[in-house]
Formats: sequence, structure tokens, C-alpha cells
Amino acid sequence: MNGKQNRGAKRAWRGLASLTAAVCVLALLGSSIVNTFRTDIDKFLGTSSTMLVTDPNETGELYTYKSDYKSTTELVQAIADVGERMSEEGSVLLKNENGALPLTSEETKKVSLLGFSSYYPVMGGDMGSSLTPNVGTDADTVDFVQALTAKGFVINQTLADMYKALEPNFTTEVASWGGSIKYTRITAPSIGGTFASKEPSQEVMTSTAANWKDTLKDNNILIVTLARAAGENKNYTPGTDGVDPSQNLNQTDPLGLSDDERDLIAAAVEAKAANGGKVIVLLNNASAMEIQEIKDNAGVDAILQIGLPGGYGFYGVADVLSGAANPSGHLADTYVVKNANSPAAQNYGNYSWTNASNEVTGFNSALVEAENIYIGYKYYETRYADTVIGQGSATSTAGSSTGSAWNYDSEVTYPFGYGLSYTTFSQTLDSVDVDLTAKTVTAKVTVTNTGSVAGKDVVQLYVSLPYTDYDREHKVEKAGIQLLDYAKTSVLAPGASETVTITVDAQYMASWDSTADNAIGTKGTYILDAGDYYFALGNGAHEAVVNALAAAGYSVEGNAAMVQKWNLGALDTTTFARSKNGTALENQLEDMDVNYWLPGTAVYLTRNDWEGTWPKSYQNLTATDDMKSYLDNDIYEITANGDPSSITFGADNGLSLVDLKGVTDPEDERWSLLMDQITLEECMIRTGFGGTSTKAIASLNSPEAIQNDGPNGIYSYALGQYGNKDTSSTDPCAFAEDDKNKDYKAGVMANQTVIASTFNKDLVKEYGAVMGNYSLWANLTIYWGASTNIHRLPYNARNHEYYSEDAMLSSGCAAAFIAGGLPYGLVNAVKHFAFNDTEVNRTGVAVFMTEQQARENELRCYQASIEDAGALGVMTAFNRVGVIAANAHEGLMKNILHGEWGFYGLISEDFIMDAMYVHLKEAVQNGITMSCNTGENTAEAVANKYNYWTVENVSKDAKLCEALKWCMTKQAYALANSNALDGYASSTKLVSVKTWYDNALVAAEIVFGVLTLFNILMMFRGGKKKEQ
Amino acid sequence: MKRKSSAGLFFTVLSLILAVAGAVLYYLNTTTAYFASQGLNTTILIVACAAVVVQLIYLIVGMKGTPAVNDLFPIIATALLIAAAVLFASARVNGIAALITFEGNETTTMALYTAIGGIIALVAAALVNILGSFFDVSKEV
Repeated sequence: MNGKQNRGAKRAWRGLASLTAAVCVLALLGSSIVNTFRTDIDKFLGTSSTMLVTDPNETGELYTYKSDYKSTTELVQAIADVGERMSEEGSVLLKNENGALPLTSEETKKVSLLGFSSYYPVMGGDMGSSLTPNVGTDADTVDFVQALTAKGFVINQTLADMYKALEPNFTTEVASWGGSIKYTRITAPSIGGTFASKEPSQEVMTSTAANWKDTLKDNNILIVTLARAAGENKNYTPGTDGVDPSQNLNQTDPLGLSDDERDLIAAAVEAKAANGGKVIVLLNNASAMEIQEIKDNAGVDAILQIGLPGGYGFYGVADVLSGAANPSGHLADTYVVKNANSPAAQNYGNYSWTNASNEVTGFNSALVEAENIYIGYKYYETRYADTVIGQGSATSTAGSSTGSAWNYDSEVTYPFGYGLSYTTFSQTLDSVDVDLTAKTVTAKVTVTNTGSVAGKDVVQLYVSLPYTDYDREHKVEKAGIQLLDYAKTSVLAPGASETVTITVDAQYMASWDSTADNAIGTKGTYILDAGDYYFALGNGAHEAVVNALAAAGYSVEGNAAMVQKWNLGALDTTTFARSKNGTALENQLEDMDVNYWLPGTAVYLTRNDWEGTWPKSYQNLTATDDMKSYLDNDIYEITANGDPSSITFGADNGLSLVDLKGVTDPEDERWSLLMDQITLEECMIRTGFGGTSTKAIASLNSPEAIQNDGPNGIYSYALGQYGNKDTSSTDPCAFAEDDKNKDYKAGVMANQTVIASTFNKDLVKEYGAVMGNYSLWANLTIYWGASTNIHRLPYNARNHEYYSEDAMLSSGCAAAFIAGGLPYGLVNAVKHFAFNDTEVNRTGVAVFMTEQQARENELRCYQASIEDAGALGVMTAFNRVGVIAANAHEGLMKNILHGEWGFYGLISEDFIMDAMYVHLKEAVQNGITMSCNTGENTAEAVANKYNYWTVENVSKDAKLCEALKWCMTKQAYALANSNALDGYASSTKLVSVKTWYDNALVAAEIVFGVLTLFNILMMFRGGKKKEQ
Repeated sequence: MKRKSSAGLFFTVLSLILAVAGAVLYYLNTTTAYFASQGLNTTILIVACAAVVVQLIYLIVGMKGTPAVNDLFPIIATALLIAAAVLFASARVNGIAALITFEGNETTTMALYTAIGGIIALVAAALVNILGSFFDVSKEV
């Protein structure tokens, strides 16, 4: 018996020893791993692993950047205020018959909200720019019902209760992080998935609340909300292929209406016919929907496009509905009858290489953007112009959605730039001065409020460029009309006028000619054709092109007072042959043309022959061996070259980064003295492991700078996560530990299309400023916020994070947003540079287009942010530029971004995890300062991740060593000119702080280590007792 | 003295199978396109295989008797299995996050499943081994 008992005891001790050993090992390894993911762990747990320690005798101002606010209350309420006004000015009134809007005070008390999206609206992205709800703060977020209620509206409770009961009908489970999330609002389809209409049918509604239609008699202000969601890594497949085939709801496109949505509108119209009242349709979407049938429906009195309003935008929507705000938004995209009939839509999808490889990351697919420059209104308005002019077989059936001759009115529902107001305005283009010496175009426009309600108006300055024989011969395309710049008036009282002066960089009316001789004897430069230039105003691109055509003598009903003509006598290939910083321009993106690699493969659309060059769908391309040498992601070979010993690392010059605080001259000699202190290992680790925060660099005494995603606000961290809670410090932005707003997250702004629809650079700048302020209070310096890829077509479900189909509108927004935050030390970065205009195979898709298309559409979205606004940060793209990964494309990254535009700052890759696709050795030579990977702060760890990235390899390659120093210098420059150094003095040291989890791990190691030894000892003692 | 198998044999064999599965899944995971560029971390494989070897020794010796030193082996095996699981997870956490959120597609499914499956297998092997440590592999008849 004793033997059995002893054996039993032995087993018990053995089991316990096994258990405690497991915990001990977990704690030991955990300590090592914690260091790798420390920033993310701190983010998750709300802890901080570092603190600044400054000599208490330090004098001088430690805090350079000043907030406009004295408390977090003022800050968050300012954010809410901007959010409300953004939707006041960014909601677009598309239709307003019979004076339906604004509602009277009495009418606001009898509102029936129809459509489940009225109660469960889309306020942000499914992923990316998702709304961060705030509750219990001084600026709680609100949905549509809450906003209406707060503004004194009274809504039909029977309908509210009915939709509540119907929740299971429109609840969707979406896979996320290994589990799933339940959404009661509509969601966007996954890539390869289909859209399923969730609108309850009339039968379902009646079976849930039999009397719901009866309640519309007294509550006869009928607001119907239709929604389409948005999200990163989501996609709308064009046509019926993108619609759930099991539903049979006559939905021909995921962005078109389903029968249930039609029936809902019909029910509202029917109720109005019986009871009087009004029918108002709200479009809660970022991607342009197909709404011709709503426009044509005489029973629908008003259509208001509200985008994704964020956390406060519904206050603004309510203000517009009630007339407290006069709508002044204009469409940032063309709304067309059939999205799938655009030229861009002919090449949109998953087009695998025939010899795609599963062994190589990113060798997956090719996308030939054969539409040339003709995306959005540039297509529709140019083809319209050509139908008037009678050129290019514009009236052929190619691309026609009706099958008959192409006719503008059959193709476009609402043009780009269109928007109504509660008042009326007149505009006259008083003068246009083109100064090619100063390289400016200055337009003076008088705007008069000719109506009876005060309001703001938007001046949209367009230009129609001459399309000449030279262009036809040299394959230079010209849009029939293009936006040059825009401005918004102040609030004009009825009868009041304002003269708006717009001065725009004239380079934006130049066209890229890949065949032209340039300043350095190669090919490629911007040209201005000889001929007549028509500068035109209009409520949208269509009105502008009509005005321009009328001024040119064509038989259309245009307004000559809104047009000025300017003539250029001869072809100009020199004025814009150099960039603003004097860099000679030349072709940099020839390899983006698929014909460069596969001659004769693609024909790009030209207005010279709409029919003959209507885009084919380019699928099943086969990559050649030459292409594969880039597609395999291993381009640069690290070799011994140059004189690495001439590049100084690890010097002891006694400088700290804070000594360069605010030094804006990159040529200041102190930069090289400082950067000589950095070690090669530090350069290699920091470029390889950029991660979610830009880590401290000991040799420079530079701080950690936290990165944050956007663009609907700095939403990655709550205010209190990194905010300074030491109110005894001199930090003017310190707040108490128990501050009411410490859990506030700023992912609350309306989405980018709403922002663009305001056409108000000042308001966008305000948004930048309020985020800059948030950055100061929250100690969050780096913000991937100015997201400005172009809307190639509406099917990209990530369009909610980008502004517009137009480059100048996008550019104006991004530049204003960045400029607004700079005075507060915010590094607001543009992204995703460049050509990331699809989520389908975004990691690796080889994007092909002409260089003119590349420069005048997508790249023009970024140019002003870099050249003029002084952006200090860029995030690059997942995709390839041609066959070369964006990060590895020297022409784009090094020559255009840095060379032509003069960018100087930090650049991060997007979330590319694959060590080869990161193209680290290529990327650093192009000025990319960090990848998104994380890891332990050691050379061994980074070499484990990137097997070529060893000190032994890199140290012999002078080219790489120089590139690394250049990258780290630019990054340090960005941080030195940001609020990352606020609170830093020369004596400041960043010291590590043991968090509770560090202490817990150490305690666990000790306790469980001792316990394990104890258990083993007891186990052996148990055996010895048995023997005894 | 005759001996017959005991509960510990069942648990240890199960743990051994899970450990082998974990090691195999790790190896397979390193051959997927998504993770291939990260190469094979031999430490993970060596640690997992060492755990299997230790378990085998424990089993073989345990079926013949209960020498004191044999009691150390399940403890060592547990420690090694935990180490393998943690090292595997650490090497893959960023990649798994990316695959689950937005880099997942048909071609990366294998990469995701072998990563998650391998980690789970190694963790399960450790847990089962802990449980098995409370039982002998064999007992006297």
C-alpha cells in the first residue's frame, strides 16, 4: 500500500513539475517575444514601456507645437463640430422637386424612416476607416436616428420597432480574426464574393407589422435610405456576376437596385400619393450607385447623397434636411446608368498570368488599364464632346449601355461636380490670366446668390485643351474637359456677391507626351499644344464642357459668360520640361505599358477612334522570362562595390536628434554629423523592422514615434493610450488619469468621398488641423491619413478611403489635409503610392497603363501634397508598377517622388509580410525607410527575417550603405520636424520602464522555476522514501 | 515483474502523435509560397523533434520499469513542446494576422491553415503531455 501511495505521490509531483515547467518556459520565451511585439502589446493593454527623463534643470521651451485647445473636452468637441460641418457641406443634393427640401419644422415632427439602413447605416468601412464609436465622452458619436432625435425630429416609432424586430433578416456574419463579427448593417462583398440585398421585402415587413403602411398617413415625410458598404480587401464584381444568383431580385449590378429596394421606394411613393407628404431618398454609399430609375421616378421628390457620414455626420445630414444648413456639396464621382459599360470596367477583375506561380509571392495577376486617361468624367464628357464635334466615331455603339448609338443622356445620370442648393447662384468668369513665366493660371469669378436663401457656392474651374493632329500622331490624349482647380465661397446672403480668385499651377493643364524631346536629350516631357484653350465654369463637368463647346461655336446651349478663351500659338515643350525643383523630366514609367514587355498586346483607348480602340479585356497573359526576372522579387544582387569604408557609421559626435529639432534645411551640416553616429546595424534593423511604430534609435537619441492608421481620423489608439497623464509636467496637453475623454478614439470623420464633395479646401484643412491637435494630445505623430488613390471605377470597395475619380479634386483635398496638420507637428502621410486602385490581388497585381495616364490621373493626386504642402510621409503600395513591385520601382520612387517632386521624409511600405516581396534591398535604394514587419531589435532577428540582410553582406556594398544612411537621414528629418520631439531636450533620455506584464513575466519565471525545482525534488524524494 | 500499460501510455502516445503532426505542419508551412521566404527555422524543428525523442525514450523505458531518471523525461518533453509552440507562434503571428484580415485568398489558405494547425497541434501536445505526466506509462501486474 505504501508503495502504491509513494508511486502515486511521485506521479503527482511529476505532473505538477511538468505543469510548472511549462509555465516557466512560457514565461522565459515570453519575455523575448514581448520585446518583438512590445508596441502592439502596449497598444492592446494600454501600457507604456518607455518614458522620457529630462534633467530637471533643463531650461527652454520643451513643447514646440501648441494646441488650439485647453482641454480634451474642447478637442473632442472641435472634432465633432468639424464632423458635423463636413456632412453639412459634403452631402450632395441631387434632386429636389416641388420644394421638397428643406423640411418645415412641422414636417420634421412626422418623419417615417424606411429601409433598414436608416436604422443601421453605414458610417465607416467594414475594414479600413471603420467608425470608432465613442460613448461616455464629451463628444459621443451618433447614428442617424440619434442625430435626428437630437435635432428635434420625431420619427415613426412603429417603423423603428418593426425594423428592430426584423434584425435577423439583415444580420450578416463576417469572418474576422479567426472568429466572426455580426453586422446588422449592410456589408461589402469579399473579393470573389457576391452582393446580397438585405432589404426586407414588403411581405416580410407586413408580416412583422401589419399596420406599418397605415402609420404613413400621419407620418408622411418618407425618408428611404439605401446603402452600399465599403471596406479594405472587399470588392464589387461588375454586373450580374457580382450579385447573389439565388436572390432573383432583378439586380443587374451589385451597385444597382434590387427589387426589394424598388418595392420599398414604390411603397413610399404610393403612400405619398394616398396621404400627401414627401419622398426623400438618401444614398448612404461611397461607390457610385446606379440610380437612374430613382432620378426618373416622379414620385421621388428628393435625392440626397450622404456618403458614409462617420460619427457626427448625421448631425449634418439632419441640418440639411431641416434647412439649418444649405447643401453645397458636389459629386466627387460621375453617377452613370451602367457602371459596367465604362471603358475601365472592361479590364477589372482577377486576371491570372497563365504561368502564375504559387511559389513566389505576388506573381499572380496582371491588369491592363487600357482605358488610357479616360476614367470617370474624362471618359463620359470627352465622348460627349466628340459626339457634338463629330469626331472619333463617338456615336458608335461601342460601350453603349443601350446597344444603340452612344448617347450621353443614356449613359450618365448625374455628372461629376454636380450638386444642387436651396438657393440659386450665378457665376461669371470675369478673367483668366495665363502666365507661362510664372507658370500660373489666375481666374477671377464673380458669384452671386440669386435666390432667397443664404448659402455657399462652389467655383469649379475647368479647362478644355486643344486636341490636335500632333496629339493624334504622337498618341497624346486630351480630355474634352478637365478640372483645373476649385474654390468655395463664404456664405452669401441672398443678393450678395463674392469675387473668387483661383490661382492654379499651370503645369496641371499640361499633357505628358512620351514621344517628345525633352531638356536632356531623351524622351518624355509635359507639353502644351498650340491652339485654343477654353477655361470654363459649370455646375459640374458636363455643364462646363457644354459651356466650352458653345464658346467654341458648337450648337449646344451653353453660357458664354462662364467661358474665357486663351490661345497658344505654337507647341510648347519647354515650359514644363523641368519640375519645380529644376529636375529635368523624362519618361520614367515606360515599363508600365504592357506593350513594352509584350509588343503589340494592348491597344489603349483613344478619342481619335472610340469604336476601333474600345478596350478589349486583356486576360491570360503569359509573363516572359524577362518579366519573370522582376516578378520573382529578387532584382538587386548584393555585391562588394565601391568603398564602404568611406561611409561613416558609429561616430561619436555628441549630437542628439533634438539638436536638429525644427531644422528644415536638409543641407545643414549638422545632419551629416548627427547621422554619422548611426550604426549600420541600426540602419538595417530599422529599415527591416518598421512595424507599427518607428522605434527609438539609441545612437541618435531619437524617440519612438507611434504610427496610426486613417484616413477617417487617427483611430489606432485612444487619446489616453500614449497621452501624457502627468499634469505636473510642463506639457500643455497633459490631462488627468481619469479624464472623461481618455478612451476617445478619433476614427469618426465622414469618409473621403464626403470630404471631397465639400469642394472646400479650408474645411479639409480644418480637419487636418483638428487631427494635428489630436496628435498633440494623444502623442501620436505619424498618421497614414491622406489616402488618395484615384477612383478608377466604382467597383473597388475601398473607394471610401479615396477621394474621387478626379486628380485635381483628390490633390486639393490631400494637400489641404496635410497642410492643416503640419503646424501641429503631425506627419500626415499620403498613400498608397501608387496605382493601388484595386483590392483584387493587390499584393502583386501587375498594373499596366500608359505613362500619360499614370502621371495625369493617379500621380497628379499626390503631386501637390509633396511639392507644395510639404508632406513628410508617404506609404507605398502593395501592387506592382508594371512587373516591378512599387517599392522596387526606381522610376516611380526614386526619380519621380524624390527626384522630380523633391520628397524628403519617411516612407513606409504597406503591410507586406513576405520577406522577398518586401524587396528590402531594392526599396532602401529607392528611399523607402521602413517595412511594416516587426521583430526584435537585433541584427540576428532581422537576418532571420530577410536572409540576405546580414551585416556581412550589406557592409561590403557601398551602394546599399549609402542608401541606408540616406533613408535614415530622411526619416530623422521627418521626426525632427514633427511633434515626436515635443518634450525632448538635449538632456532627455528615453528610458525603458518595466510594465506590469514585464514584472509578471519575471515573477512567473522565478516562481515557476523554483516551483519546478521543488516539484522535481519532491518527486525524487518520493522515490527515495519508497526505496527506504 | 510483469507490467501492463497504463493511462500514461495513452496520453504520451497521443502527445507524441500531436507533436509529430505539429512538426510536420511546421515543415509544410515553410514550403508554402507565403512563408517560404522566411525559410526554415531549424530551432523549431529541432526542439519539436527533441521532444518526440524524449517522449519515445520515456515510453520505451517506462514500459519496462520506473527508474527515477525516467520521471524527468515527461517534464523535459513538456518544456520542449511548449518552447516549440511558442517559437512557431512567434514566427507566424504577423503573417497569420495578415492572412486572416486582408491577405487571405485561395492560394494562401494552405499557409494559414498549416500555421494555425501546427501551433495548435504543438500546444495540444504539450497539454496532453502535462496530463500524461500525472500517470505512469505502465504499472506492475
